[in-house]
Amino acid sequence: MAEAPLDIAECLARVRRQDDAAARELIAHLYPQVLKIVRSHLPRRVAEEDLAQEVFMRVFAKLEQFRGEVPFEHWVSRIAVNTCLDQLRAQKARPELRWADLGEDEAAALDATIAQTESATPAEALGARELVEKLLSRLAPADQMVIRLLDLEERSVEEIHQLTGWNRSLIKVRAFRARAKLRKFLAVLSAQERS
Amino acid sequence: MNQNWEQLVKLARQAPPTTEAPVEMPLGFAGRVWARRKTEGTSSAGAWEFIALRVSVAAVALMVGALAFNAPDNEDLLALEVVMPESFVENLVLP
Repeated sequence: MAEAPLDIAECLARVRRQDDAAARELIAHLYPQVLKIVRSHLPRRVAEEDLAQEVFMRVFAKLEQFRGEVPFEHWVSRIAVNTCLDQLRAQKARPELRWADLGEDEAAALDATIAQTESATPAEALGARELVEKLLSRLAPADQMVIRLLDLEERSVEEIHQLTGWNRSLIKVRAFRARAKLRKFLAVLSAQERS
Repeated sequence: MNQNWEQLVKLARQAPPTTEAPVEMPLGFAGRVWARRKTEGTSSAGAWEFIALRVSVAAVALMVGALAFNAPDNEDLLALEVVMPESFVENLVLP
């Protein structure tokens, strides 16, 4: 028999009365959603369980501020995204990326990119993913976040607005500037490869 | 050259999904979170905000009281304007 869906309003009322069982039910219900966000934006060297725990701590700390104007899951997603953003801000930026630092697959991905190859070999595709991660880590945390959401997760501007609270124009401007920086980083890498 | 970022993303999307650990809650995770919440809950940001608000209300009350008691002159009002909005000072009834 399928499990009955969790009655969020009733569960929240019990959590507010410090009901242990309700708190555990709520955490179990939200865990997959929180972990998915944490995994997508996990800053380097931060254990996913620690970051997920931090998200839940914030959720409980702010629970009294939840007014039910948006679905509870959306509200939690926003807290999760902002927690990841704060963790990213706490990390130092990586040093400049040079062509000589690229692995074999990453260099192959760069070649395929320059050659405008339509379909990549598995190694090139994996190299491309690694190269994307390295390039993103050179951006400011908010820029990393917007590019991950827009370009890698292919979310709409509206979804990102719901998730982060940033206004729509800011999202577009931030993405435009971040992509310009990424193109510049790639141009530098390509020039180094040719020289 | 301009399309290179888009091209790189297109290639990256072709990568096979990485084998990730299943999204299963680690054993005892909920218990650990809730136990931490119960121990740290009293010193949460909300509590500090509440205290800060009380302190600032008390400080303003003290300042207004002191001004009323000491029959303020223009210099006192000027000093008050530094910390309070102009409209507040203008509406203050001098004794």
